[in-house]
Amino acid sequence: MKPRYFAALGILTGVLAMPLAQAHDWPYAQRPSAAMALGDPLGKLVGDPLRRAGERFIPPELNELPNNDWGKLVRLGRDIFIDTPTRAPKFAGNGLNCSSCHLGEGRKPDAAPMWAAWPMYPTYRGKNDDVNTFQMRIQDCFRFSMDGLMPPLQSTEIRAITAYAQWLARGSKSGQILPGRGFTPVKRDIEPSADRGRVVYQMKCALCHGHNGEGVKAADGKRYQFPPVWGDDTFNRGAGMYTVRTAAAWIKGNMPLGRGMSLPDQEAFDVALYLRLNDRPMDPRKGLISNWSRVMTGF
Amino acid sequence: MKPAHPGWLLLLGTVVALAAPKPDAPDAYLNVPAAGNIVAVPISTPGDVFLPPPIIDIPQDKAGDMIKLGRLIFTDTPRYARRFTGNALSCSNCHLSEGRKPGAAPLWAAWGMYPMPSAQPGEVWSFESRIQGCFRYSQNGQGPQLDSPEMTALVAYAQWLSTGAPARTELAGRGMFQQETLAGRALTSASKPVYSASHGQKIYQFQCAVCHGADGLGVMRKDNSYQFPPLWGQASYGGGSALAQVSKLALFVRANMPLGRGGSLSETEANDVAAYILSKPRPPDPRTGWRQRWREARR
Repeated sequence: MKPRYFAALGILTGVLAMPLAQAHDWPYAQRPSAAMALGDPLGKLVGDPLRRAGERFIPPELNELPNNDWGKLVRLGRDIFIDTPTRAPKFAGNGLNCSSCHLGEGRKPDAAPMWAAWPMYPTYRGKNDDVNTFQMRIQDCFRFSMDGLMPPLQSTEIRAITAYAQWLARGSKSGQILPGRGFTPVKRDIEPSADRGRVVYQMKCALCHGHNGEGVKAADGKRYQFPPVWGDDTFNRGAGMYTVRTAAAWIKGNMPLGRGMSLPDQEAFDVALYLRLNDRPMDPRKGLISNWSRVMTGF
Repeated sequence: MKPAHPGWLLLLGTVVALAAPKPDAPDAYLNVPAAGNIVAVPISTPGDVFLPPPIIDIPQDKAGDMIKLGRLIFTDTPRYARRFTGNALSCSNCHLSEGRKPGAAPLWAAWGMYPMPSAQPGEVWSFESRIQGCFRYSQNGQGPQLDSPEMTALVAYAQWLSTGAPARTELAGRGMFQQETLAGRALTSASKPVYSASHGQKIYQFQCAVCHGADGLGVMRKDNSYQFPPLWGQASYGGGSALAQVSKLALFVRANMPLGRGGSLSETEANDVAAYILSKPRPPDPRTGWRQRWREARR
């Protein structure tokens, strides 16, 4: 087709989309694709599930970044975020990326998106009984979920990831609790069963994460296509995902990939308990004895 | 002729007040009350300045305690951040009204803009490194470590002050150096200014000396803290701070001084006063060596 046909098609599409843009407010006017999130299976990875289309905060796109020092830092932060063992080898201790849990490059609602986390920090965290800045929170991710070392607060890695998160949160209001923040709420009165969890895992999770939770390597043999969920190369016993309810909330909202919210709460809890009972690296805060007692009892 | 009865004047004033059109402000950006408030500066459009939350809204929990500590550090730095401070100034001596006043580098407008590219190529300022720069140059002390409670508290206070302020958005009233208009008038003219320190001395004695003292050493309370900050001398800011440049000090003076009557000095007067203030001795720039300091002292 000739370029002018493309232009004509674009104008026609714009004209057809005009009532759409006028019927609702800003998300459609700025990004008509927001209106199509429900019908678009590819969009499910990022925009899932919407009670009302366009209701979520929409982070900026990568090609909107300027090519100055700050833009380069943000791009570096994104590179670290989606390829952590390669880009932050000094500090990453396992095969996981930041984006293994913070799906869609940290954009997906209900997978602890960066744009919803940034406005809430500094905040109090019960985990260390202190007020943490965003940078300290990233340190905890490296220490527990990456099973690695804490990057120093002035390191390039921390500065880059912080810049990336802050850029994703562009336009979100400081202190504002955005819908999609954190994980999906789950019921609190569920008795999980590891036996049922094993069945659910083999039926619904093992296809990607492997029957022994070892994940699937990419073609280069180093990076992971699908991350391991237990074993030596995954998050340790100090990570938030080691808590059954936290893991269940994440699983319910996001797993199986692309079909989030398809598992009932009970099955999400079962799988989470099954994951917890399998072997994984030790909690770096604890000594051998308390770690072993956790291994023997499961809790 | 007999002077008009006060009642007529009152009636006339009421009629004028009722007839004046009321600007409708969007809810997040509230109108700043005009009279009896040192926070208010002339703004070109009423209602275009962000209003940070009042201090009674600080939450009553551990995060709130950190915010309160940050406010104490901000308003009484020599006392609450004693180990990092080198002079008698507090943060709020330049960031007026506890960091709230538009045109005096308010925190709520700064928080969302960091990280930002710095003047030096290859360097990106984070909010924390900017605070460290304030301590090093303007407080003539040392930058607090990134994991120190002072730093966490100041960051928490800044983030709380900007509750509701959008991230990465230029807010009206940001900074104090902007070349924009104040009360509809251009703050700086295009021509290169000529400074006259001797004229500035007259302006100083007339406009500034009543608070800052004829010797520029400020006014001290009984407990040795400062009621009005010293403008030069060993207890004032160092030669490396931004306000040690005539053009920037002139803009600050123009926008904020005399206290409560910002915008009342003309551009020439502000320039001359700034030149006079900066002709006086002050702590040296910590980045310079003794040779350069000796040369500057002889000049």
